[in-house]
Amino acid sequence: MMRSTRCNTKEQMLHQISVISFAAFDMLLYLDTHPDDSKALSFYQEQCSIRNQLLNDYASQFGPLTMDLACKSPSDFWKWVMQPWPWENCQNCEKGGMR
Amino acid sequence: MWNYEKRLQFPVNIKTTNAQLAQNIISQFGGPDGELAASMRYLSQRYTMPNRNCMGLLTDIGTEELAHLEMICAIIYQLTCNLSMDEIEKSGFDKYYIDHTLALWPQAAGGIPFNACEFQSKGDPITDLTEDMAAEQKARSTYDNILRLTDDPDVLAPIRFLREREIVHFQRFGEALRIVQDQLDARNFYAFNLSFDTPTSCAVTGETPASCKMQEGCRKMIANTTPEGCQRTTSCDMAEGKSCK
Repeated sequence: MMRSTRCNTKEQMLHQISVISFAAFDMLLYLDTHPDDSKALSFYQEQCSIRNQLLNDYASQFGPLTMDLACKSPSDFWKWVMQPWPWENCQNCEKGGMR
Repeated sequence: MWNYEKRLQFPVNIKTTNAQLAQNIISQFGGPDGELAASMRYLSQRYTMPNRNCMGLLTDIGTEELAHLEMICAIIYQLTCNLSMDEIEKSGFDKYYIDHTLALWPQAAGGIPFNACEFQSKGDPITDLTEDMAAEQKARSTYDNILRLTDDPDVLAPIRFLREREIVHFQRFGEALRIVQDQLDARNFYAFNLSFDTPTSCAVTGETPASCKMQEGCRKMIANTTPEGCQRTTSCDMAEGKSCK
């Protein structure tokens, strides 16, 4: 079943990437011990193609999540390093003081 | 989050086994200046870095060090493939073989197990980046020492590649240290710790929150902060196009 790759907000899209990526990754582990399970293979392929589409859409709208997508997110500065890193979202950071 | 690429960063194709050499090269897996310590050092230090250049550089170099660890392991694996019991005994590999057979296990050339005490994560960007520069030079020296021990071209090529990467990393860490120093008080770089004393919001609001222990340092940063040159982390987000002030 194809899911929509159109999401309204950055947070929603990132959440969807996390959900799809986890499904694909969990299937990766299963396939490592069941490499000839055709049902699992097609499920993995489906999740993987949605994931790639979402990653590309996210990169063009908000910025790159991987090195490969850094070239698909045109900008006049290096977004890869200047956009927030995933551990930066603590409340105290905004208030000042120790991080 | 990490993903694995199923390839070596630089090819390793060793045709002649040499268990004695493997015992020396294993230091770059689990030794004091090895690739495991390098990766763990950078990936541990990155969280408390005061700007995104340093966070990103430590993430990216810490990731590359995992690829170097893989190359070192591939070299050791290929140097010890299909050893006969006679070769194991004569090469002195028997001591390692007793505990690990031919498996990879992080230890120094002298047999000392890998230990997290071989690196620091101090929470002061000047301290941490200076350690990182020293670590790259120590690893470069170790590769120099390895290069003197062999004339096998199959071993020399990947070891030379790894040695060159130490030099590139040293250069990048030097640049990161310069960026950090540019955000400090030039009269006294040690007046405060950018990762601990100085709230990141100082640069944006121009206010001195109660939690800011070094008021002068904050004022200095406000003066230095322009939208073009701003590298503060949470206080200004260049990606969102916000001004720093």
